[in-house]
Amino acid sequence: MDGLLQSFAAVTQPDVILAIFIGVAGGTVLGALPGLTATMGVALLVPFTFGMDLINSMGMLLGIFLGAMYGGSIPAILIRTPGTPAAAATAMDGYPMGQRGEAGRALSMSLISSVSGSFIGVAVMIFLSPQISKFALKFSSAEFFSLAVFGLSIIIAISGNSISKGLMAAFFGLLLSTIGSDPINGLPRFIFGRMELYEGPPFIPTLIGLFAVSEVLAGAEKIISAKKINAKVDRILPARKDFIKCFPTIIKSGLIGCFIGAIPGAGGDIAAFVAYGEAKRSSKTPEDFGHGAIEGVAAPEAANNGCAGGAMIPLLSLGVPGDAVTAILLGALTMQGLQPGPLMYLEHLPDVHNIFAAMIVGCFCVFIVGALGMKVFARVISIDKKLLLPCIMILSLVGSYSMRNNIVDVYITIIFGIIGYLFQKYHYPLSPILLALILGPMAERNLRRYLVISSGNFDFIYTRPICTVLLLAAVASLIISLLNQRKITRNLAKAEAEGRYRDEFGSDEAPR
Amino acid sequence: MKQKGLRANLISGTAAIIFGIWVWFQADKFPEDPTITLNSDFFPKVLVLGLIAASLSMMLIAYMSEKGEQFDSISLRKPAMQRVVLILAATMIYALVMKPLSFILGGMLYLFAVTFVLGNRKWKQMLLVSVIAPIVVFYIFKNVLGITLPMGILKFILR
Amino acid sequence: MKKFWSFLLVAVLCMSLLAGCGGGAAVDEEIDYPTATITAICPWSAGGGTDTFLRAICAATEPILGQTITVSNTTGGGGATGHGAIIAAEPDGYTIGMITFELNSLPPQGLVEFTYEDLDPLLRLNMDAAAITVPIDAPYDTLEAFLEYCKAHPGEVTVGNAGPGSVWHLAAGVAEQECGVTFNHIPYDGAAPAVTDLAGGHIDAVAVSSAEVLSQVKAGTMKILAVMAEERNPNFPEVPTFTEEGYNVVFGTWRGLAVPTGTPDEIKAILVEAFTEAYEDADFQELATSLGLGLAYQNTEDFKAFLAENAASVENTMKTLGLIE
Repeated sequence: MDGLLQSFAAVTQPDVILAIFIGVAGGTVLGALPGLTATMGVALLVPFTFGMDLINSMGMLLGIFLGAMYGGSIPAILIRTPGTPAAAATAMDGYPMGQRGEAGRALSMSLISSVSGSFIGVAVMIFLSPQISKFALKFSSAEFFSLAVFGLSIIIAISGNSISKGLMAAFFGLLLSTIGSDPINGLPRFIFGRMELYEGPPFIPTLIGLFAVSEVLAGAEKIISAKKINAKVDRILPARKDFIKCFPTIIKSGLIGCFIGAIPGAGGDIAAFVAYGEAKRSSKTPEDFGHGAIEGVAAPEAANNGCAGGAMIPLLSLGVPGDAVTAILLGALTMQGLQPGPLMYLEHLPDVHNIFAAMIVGCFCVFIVGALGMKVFARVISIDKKLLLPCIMILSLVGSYSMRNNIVDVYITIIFGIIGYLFQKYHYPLSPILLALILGPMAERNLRRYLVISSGNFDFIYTRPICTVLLLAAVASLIISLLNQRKITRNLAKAEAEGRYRDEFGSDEAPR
Repeated sequence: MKQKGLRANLISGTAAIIFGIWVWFQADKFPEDPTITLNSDFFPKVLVLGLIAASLSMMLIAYMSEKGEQFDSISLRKPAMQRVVLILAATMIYALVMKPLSFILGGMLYLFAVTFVLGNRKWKQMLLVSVIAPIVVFYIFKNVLGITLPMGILKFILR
Repeated sequence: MKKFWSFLLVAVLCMSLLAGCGGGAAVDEEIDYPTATITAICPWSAGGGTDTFLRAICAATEPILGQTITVSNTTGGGGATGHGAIIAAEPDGYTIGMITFELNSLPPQGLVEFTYEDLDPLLRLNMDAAAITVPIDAPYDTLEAFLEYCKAHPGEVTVGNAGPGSVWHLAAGVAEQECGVTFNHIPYDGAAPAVTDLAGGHIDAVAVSSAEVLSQVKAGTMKILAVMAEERNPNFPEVPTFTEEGYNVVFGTWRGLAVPTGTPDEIKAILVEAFTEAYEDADFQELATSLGLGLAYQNTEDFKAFLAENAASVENTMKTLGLIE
């Protein structure tokens, strides 16, 4: 423990704090720009950190990671476009809140949840790394398949009012995810000769198209009738009432995020949706979810930041990255002469403690950056839509281009923009598509890969305990969501009877 | 029973089924590997079955529902839809000319055109934003992030 | 308008004459190059081995050439997009690219129309040989013992690779051929997940490069049995090569620099000289070694010959593995 305290002394040097702060600020901006992700930011900055001290470079890179996980929620709340895939679940309730004039409330909750989630993730990382990483190593392809199936069972919870339409959207998304080279034999499926699709539909351009571009088109349609939204931010911290209501959700979601992050290959996006699904399931007012429930913002944000701490667990204890960002951090650490893994704890314990301390400082910095910027962020929606919409469109196109320097990605964004717009018009939810695009490949690849390893044996369903648990949880989740749906319909009918009717698809309501 | 919105739901449901059938036939053409258990066509086909099942139940539920749904029309006679189509067309043109014309020049034209379509008539404001925004974005991406957006014919000036 | 162009022509002529008289920092006597930012295309994403390597050598070359070199990650298509972009770029010397093994493994699969002959290679910089790596507590300590085990369990020993048709899949295939064994090839999405699964004990071995298992081996969780290289890896001097163990197998990925065909010879000469100097820089070499990336320089002529030979060998292996007809 006093090793950690010594690290605090090392970390609270002005140059280190500055490096962490710059990282968090930069990460927040990167996360807030749709199309630019934490992975990109970390990758671009790693070469610059060659010459820096270990603690400065890791501090800055970790700062980017934490900042981006928070930053992604800003455009999700303001313009319904997740800045990073991990904020996709935040858009579901954050955006309706923003449209109701409650952007400040949503942003505050997002910030506090992100900071809390970060602390939870870091705390678990500091105290429970060895145990968790042993558990994480038990995940083979069979367990990943089961995890994906469990993740997919959340779809019912995010389908909104029409489960069958949610399922249709999910199957559509799952079919989209089969585009690309077959994971087992490498032969191309559904690419029609376009090598740009060889690795599947490019995720970020698809995300931007479905959410941002479609929203711009929808906004263009309603521009005359759109009322000016007053986005006032009176307070940085959420109201006591809100915080008390969301507190259990935040703790639970932070832990969910941390554990999912600790599984190599499962990242913030999965964590956010699972946390969202769980928050909806355990809420007394599940009918509010999707229409601006504050827990719907707290849960995913706490989870995706908890995931940052979680992803560091396998990285530091096993030398195995927990997600894309930590994969790059692995390279950065190697370049600094450290070999992440079991030996690191034995031979470089002070460096490990420095990393822990840097992350804790990073959590504080996220709060500072968020608090400083909140008033500015909230103002964005007050900008005249006639100027705002085209600017969002340009940023979307730029964001999609930036991933691979490929103009075809821009075309793909536009195509998905049309698809997303039509989906909205015909009352189909978009979030299931996103979840399907993330989890579909995970499910198919891992199942087929495991079958190659086990030579066609499906026994894992009952011989491998983790798989059994996850698959049963998936079934349970499905059943509970269906039951919950009935509860929602009941609550809504009650509300209608009492005169509190809420029109599902009135022109003021933000589509899901 | 003819509820409001039934037609829209039937259209989307049928479109989904047709899409599914097309995917099925495409997947049938995938080469098979006899040594592995699940082949390339397995998942797509299973998903198509699921899609068709979900579409059928959706249409059934819509048919039997009492309340019905209110859909906004997509008739092109509404000025709202005309705006959408114009902006979509402008965006597609921009994407096509971005490489030869350069992000900056295309962006200026695009911003001006779209703010106009959306109803803005404050010329000075429009000109200012249209000209400055693309340049600012270009330089930030180039110098801060190291990403060079398409330069097109401006290659000589910007290099 | 005409006046403007005449003025420009005269200005350019004057500048070239002046450049010829002065001779600046490593800029050639006859032509004025480089005078603007150079773009280096990387067919792989930021943060990966190729990208890190390219950024490192570019960083070392910038002071020599006196210009910034920006790395542009043009990814996609399993490397097809980036390589295609290098081939299609303007041959004015302001676009160069890093070419990798996939340049030779994509064409036989019919996924791309180009081949290595469609660009001008400059230098080979790196080669990473495949390494058979197993968990530390595996019952075999040598390649021979491992192969014995494989012969006793034909088709059962699971060997992970970075994807169907990837260099590591092919490497394992070549090893199978030469050593007379049959593996159960398990494809992953990249080398890292394969290594992770090996760490978890879910597969028996991996055939990826030693760079990708470096941290695990140094941490003592895995051991490398042999490498498919001409010489032992300086990071692992006690690991024998396949050749030393009696099997004629040399296979691995490689990385080099190239420019689009049509780039003027003088520019190519400047680039070769500058990058060679950067390659020999001690800091760069130290960085590459610390990352486990093998330094394997080849000049233009040797590289061209290597590419031809490698292309033929890859196509052959793919046919034998049944990946192509």
